[in-house]
Amino acid sequence: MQDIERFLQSIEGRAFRMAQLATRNEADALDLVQEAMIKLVRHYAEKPAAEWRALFLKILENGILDWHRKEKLKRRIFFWRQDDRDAPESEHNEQTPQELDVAADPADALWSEQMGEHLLQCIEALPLQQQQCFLLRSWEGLSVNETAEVMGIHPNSVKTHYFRANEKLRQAIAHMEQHATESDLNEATS
Amino acid sequence: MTHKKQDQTQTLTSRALDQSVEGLPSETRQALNQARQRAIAARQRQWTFHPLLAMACSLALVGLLWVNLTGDETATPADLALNDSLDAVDTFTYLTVLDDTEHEIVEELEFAIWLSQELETGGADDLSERS
Repeated sequence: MQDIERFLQSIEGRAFRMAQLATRNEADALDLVQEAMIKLVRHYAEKPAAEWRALFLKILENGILDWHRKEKLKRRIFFWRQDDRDAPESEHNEQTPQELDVAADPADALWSEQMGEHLLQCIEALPLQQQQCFLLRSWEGLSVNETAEVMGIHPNSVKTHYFRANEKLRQAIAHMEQHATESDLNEATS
Repeated sequence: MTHKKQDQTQTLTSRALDQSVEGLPSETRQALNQARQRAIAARQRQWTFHPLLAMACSLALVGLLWVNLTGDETATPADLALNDSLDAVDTFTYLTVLDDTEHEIVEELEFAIWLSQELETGGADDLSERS
């Protein structure tokens, strides 16, 4: 197996998740990942392997931004259409993590899984730039400057987006924990 | 305290994201595998252009040598042929989209033509000096 193929294999799952969280659509996420893979292989395969990750993430990020621009334009042109994708998209910047459904029965065995699902919903609900910023900084482990380079924004904007995303997710975790404690108390009293 | 909370948020979210990747359905994994294969195939398709380019360059060189070897003894037609070859290479470069490697090949071809041109004129000078 070639080095580049091995690299793609190592990153494809995470890339798909990033694209899926941004697009909320599996097929579009797959298209974006494939496009990013083809571009990397065609144009940057000769670059040193150490640079592949940052390049791939940049290509993917650009793809996601383009996808959002096209979707926005599509919604403006076909404003009378209300397809499935419109609903979550319109809520994208409005929904606070607390408003998302918290599982009613946080039994110990399911706690971690429920927390995970809840957090994924919260990440999905974040505004696009906050979401991508958080994923690149926190999950991919890029520095502020690397994230700024990949996203094509100022490092100060990265700090702001990251701080806001972090705050929202922290609140979501606190909310979930509080909910669990309340449920435990109710069970104990009944 | 804030850092601790930030760390906790990062740890929990990263774990959730990692688990979601591990738990990707087999159909998605298969689709990603196919996407990767397509990307690799796209690269291999791109490389198939190189033999064609190499063949075109070889033909141009053969043509050049043929003109040099079978041409008249007088310098003028050979010069003309060389100039024509250079023009042909220029036109070829102009009409095709070339990457770095292909540019290098074309540049080497141009250099070979230029060198043979120089040798031609240099040889003529040597002869005139001897006489």
